[in-house]
Amino acid sequence: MIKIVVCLKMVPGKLIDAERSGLIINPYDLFVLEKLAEFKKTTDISVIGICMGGESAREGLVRSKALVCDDIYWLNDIKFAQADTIATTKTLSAAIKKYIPDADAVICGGHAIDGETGQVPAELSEKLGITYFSSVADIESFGHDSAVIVKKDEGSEMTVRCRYPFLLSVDSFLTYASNLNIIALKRAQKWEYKIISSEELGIAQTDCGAAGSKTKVINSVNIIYKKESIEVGGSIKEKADHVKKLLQQ
Amino acid sequence: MDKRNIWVVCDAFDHVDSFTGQLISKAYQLSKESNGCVQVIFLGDTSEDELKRCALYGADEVVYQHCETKDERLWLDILSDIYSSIGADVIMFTNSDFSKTLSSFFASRFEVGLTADCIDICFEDENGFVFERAAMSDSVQARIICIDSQCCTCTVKKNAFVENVINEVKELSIRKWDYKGSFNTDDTYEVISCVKREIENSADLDNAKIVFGVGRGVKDKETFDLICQAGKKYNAVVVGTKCVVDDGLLPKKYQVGQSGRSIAPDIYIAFGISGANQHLVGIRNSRQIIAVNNNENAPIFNIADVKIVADVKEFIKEFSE
Repeated sequence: MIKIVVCLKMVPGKLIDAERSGLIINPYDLFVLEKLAEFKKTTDISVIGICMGGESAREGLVRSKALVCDDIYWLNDIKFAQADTIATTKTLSAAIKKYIPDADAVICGGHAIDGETGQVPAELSEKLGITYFSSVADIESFGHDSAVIVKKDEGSEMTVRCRYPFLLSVDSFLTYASNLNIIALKRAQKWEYKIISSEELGIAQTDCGAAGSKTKVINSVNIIYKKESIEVGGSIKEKADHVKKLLQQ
Repeated sequence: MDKRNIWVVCDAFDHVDSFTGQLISKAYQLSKESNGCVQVIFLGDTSEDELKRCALYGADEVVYQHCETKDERLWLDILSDIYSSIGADVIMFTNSDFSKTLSSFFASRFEVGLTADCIDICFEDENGFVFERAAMSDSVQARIICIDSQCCTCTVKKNAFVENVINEVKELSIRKWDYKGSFNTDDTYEVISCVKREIENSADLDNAKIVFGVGRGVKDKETFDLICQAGKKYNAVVVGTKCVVDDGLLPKKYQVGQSGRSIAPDIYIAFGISGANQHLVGIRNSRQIIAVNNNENAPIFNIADVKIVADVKEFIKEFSE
């Protein structure tokens, strides 16, 4: 059995759809879950989800469980909150080392659609000491001792065989789940999710959350400065001519 | 007190364009504000002349490690070696995919602050180095400092800074580093096949003086084609908002806005763009913004120099005559 860890982040639904409230599974993570759900039909894989999040993450975790996850570690503690990428990496790394130290593969969405730093996957691979593959567009197969992936980056498209263990950063995304069925969803809703506190994880306070962060947002500034615009009146032709004149200058 | 070391990590393989020149220029400016010393950490295979050019933009020192392999893990070890020896207060990387990985590895190894895709950096007496990046889906820019961190690292967005040849004559010291670790390649993977893709050249967009922007208000292909035609006539590059790119009208390299490119042409004409902040972030440095939209209250008019309330389709028909 091939053990695969998926790092999950729940993000504001309104980032994809202004009407949507609450949190959704980060679209890049969702692609990974759907992909693994397909593989599960033909390959002997075990999928373990890890997610740092508060109570609002529950709905996304239920869907993740329903889609493909055999097990989920829910890192839910106020002490984990307000973590920057360094603190997030240390927390996820501690959880993986403690609960799934023999993972064959760790797969992360390339970036979260809130935040968008895209730093955690590489940082995590460094902490775990495993090979890192970025810009993964697709996974072709999971073999006995290696997997085959497709990497698409700035200059090339490569098919690569990667020996376990490794960490993938996936650049493909999905905004809706297609593999979700009602029965699985109902079962997932009834399931008991393992909530892991910082004590249970055994992580030092200075290694997680705001206390473990190395960066901090001190404030925000408005960058869109309003201007007084000159309105061009007249007929459509006059307006068009005005612009043509401006371009000729 | 000791001078602050401000590093710019330069990748010889990728050094063809002005990206690292932009970073060195910024580092020079910061060094003046913070009593710093600009050190360019140059990795790869290059000539003495190329190293000397760093002085043009304000470098004080170049630390050069000759290396024929471009590999993130190897470069991490080399950078770590140099860092452990001479230290740094600020490390600037470009935001190429390679640099994003390299900087993430470095920040994780040394547990230091890393800010992604900076669009500005400044030095303030009370806060030290402040890094600015676009905040999530907003018209605001987050200002970030490093806390409890031996050095501050960041990746920088292309064209965030301007390449600037300095006025003073600088004495540049070139130090050849002698990394004693191994240069063995990783055997945990094997490339089965590799197809080279045409590298998306963005020089046309970087240098364009006139740019036409297409938004959701451009509702049909006919209107879009007319805009492109007009673009050819005026030698303008046609770009689009995220919606337009997501719809497949334009390739990603022409997406302008928060998650796309930033541009600063002389004239930017926005056709049917409502003016969501995510897009405005990418065009705000244009010299003159002309906006065409049939909604007189569209937010784009808040930052336009010239306001044209008109149906885009009707307008472009007249405009293309």
